[in-house]
Amino acid sequence: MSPAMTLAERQKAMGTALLQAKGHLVLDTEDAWQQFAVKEADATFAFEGLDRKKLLLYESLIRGSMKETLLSIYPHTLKFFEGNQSGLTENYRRSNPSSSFKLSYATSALPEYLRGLTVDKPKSLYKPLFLELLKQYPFLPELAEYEWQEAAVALMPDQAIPEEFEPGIPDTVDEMSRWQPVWNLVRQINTFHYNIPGLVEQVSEMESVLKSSWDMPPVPCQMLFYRDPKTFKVRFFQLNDLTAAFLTAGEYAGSYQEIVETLHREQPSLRAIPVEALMGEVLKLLQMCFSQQILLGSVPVMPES
Amino acid sequence: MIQSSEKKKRTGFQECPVLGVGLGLRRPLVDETLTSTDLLDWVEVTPENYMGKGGRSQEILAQAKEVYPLVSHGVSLSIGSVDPWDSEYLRQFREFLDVAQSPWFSDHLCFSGVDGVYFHDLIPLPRTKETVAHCAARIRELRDRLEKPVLVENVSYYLRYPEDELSEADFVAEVIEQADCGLLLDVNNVYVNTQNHGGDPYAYFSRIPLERVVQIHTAGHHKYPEGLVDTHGSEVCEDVWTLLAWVLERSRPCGVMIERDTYIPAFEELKPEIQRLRQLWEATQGTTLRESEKPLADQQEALV
Repeated sequence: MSPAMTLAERQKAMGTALLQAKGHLVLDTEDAWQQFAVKEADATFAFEGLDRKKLLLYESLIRGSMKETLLSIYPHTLKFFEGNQSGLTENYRRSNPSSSFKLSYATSALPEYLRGLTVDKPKSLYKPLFLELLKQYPFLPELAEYEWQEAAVALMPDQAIPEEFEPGIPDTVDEMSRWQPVWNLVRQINTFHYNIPGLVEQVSEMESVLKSSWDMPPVPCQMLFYRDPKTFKVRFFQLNDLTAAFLTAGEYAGSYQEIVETLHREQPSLRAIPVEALMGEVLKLLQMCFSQQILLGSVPVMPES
Repeated sequence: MIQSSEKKKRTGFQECPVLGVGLGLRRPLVDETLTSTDLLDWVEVTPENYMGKGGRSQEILAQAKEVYPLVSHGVSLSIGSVDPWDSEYLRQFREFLDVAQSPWFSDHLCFSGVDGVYFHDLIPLPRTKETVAHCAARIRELRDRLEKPVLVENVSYYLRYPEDELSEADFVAEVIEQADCGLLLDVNNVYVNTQNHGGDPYAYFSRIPLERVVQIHTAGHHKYPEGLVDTHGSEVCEDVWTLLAWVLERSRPCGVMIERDTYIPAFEELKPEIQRLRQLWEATQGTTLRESEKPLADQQEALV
């Protein structure tokens, strides 16, 4: 009879059973993981005296909570894995062991995982059906990225607001040198190569997506995801070149006036416009950002000491 | 608020107020929970749902704190793990405890990760003397670092290890005695375990120190071909109500509550269970009405 396992040995053995990637996972159907797990468990645990069925129960509990979380964060992406969601969950879970104590964050690597599936690797390394899906729907990693960004922004910690904060913005060019913006920093900017916002709109109205054909030519778009500080809902804003440059300049410049000067200096398309005229355009843009709560308000520019 | 005269006089838990009847705060039922002060005395919150998160999570926490005393019940401390503590977890948890002002905190007597990887489930520990010593030392360390009373919860388990040396009841009792901590007794877990693995729940209760029971959980379970699974997804069954009554007649906990995590019904459907729990609590422990709801004569008496 072999000596009893120590606590550390037992925990490592359970880790191997429940978490570690098993290498060549090919789980093509909803019940394939079950067959796989049975074989795996038989081979690994018979000598350790564990009850295989009970071990499978733990696997199914872990997979169940992960699948539920994936469905809540990636509802649109998972529609494309209809009939294979448990297989996806099991493959993902074992390929991306969670280093976060928060289950939501344990799902953050799904976009990267899907991108990895598109890489041309020996067939045995990835599930053939998933490779097929990714070939058919090449936008899936970006769709997943879009859904993760929405979740990530919803979860971000709250922003500290400075003491001298005023919930307003300059309405004259004169005031632009005396105030500086307080941006909504609970935000994320991402570039997509497909029209993901349009796709999300379509998919959300469909029960089954696999029956439709999805011919999506690449259309690049830049998206701002941000959390509304009053409703806490995540809002989306499609950025054009000017608004994107404006937000970037706004993050690093001091006063509103400095933002305009930075834009004028660094954006070739704006150099031909006189600074004064640009000020007027920027005021309009500021109004829009403020009304959408992309810009929260202002603080006085501190005199240099 | 609860009157100070109702505080427990138990060694090590004097600072734990008697709270009464509670409910696990769950997002789908937040609004109804926060307006049901006629039914509830306190709510239990899962710290991992709030730690390091902003937006709606913090709003819910702030609203709940306005209405009820909050009690922290975690799922990811991994008390029995051989890994070192997750320092980021402890940092955020401490911040959470400061905000929530939880009078004590609890987590499960299990491990939930190894080698820096989280399972996101509660995995049973081998019931050995080595595990008892390991867990007791970790619980004492937690109490010292977080400076609050610690409770550990007996978990439901579906797997036994060949190296198990102790019965579950003896294992739980040994850990909490050696750690000198409180017990969060989950009556449904005792039921599920004795049904699945054999044994008598009353014998179980007779082997654990009931004087260390600070909080009690009750919940529903589901029956599967493999046995009962503690899903927190159905009504509390009659057998568990009977066990709960037995325990309440023999212990002086600070709070008792219902957990519901899956198949969450409309709040109206939960009300009869909460009312039944309150009747049981009042029949065995006396009333824990909030100050504002006490009869005026009682309030005047308290002032004299």
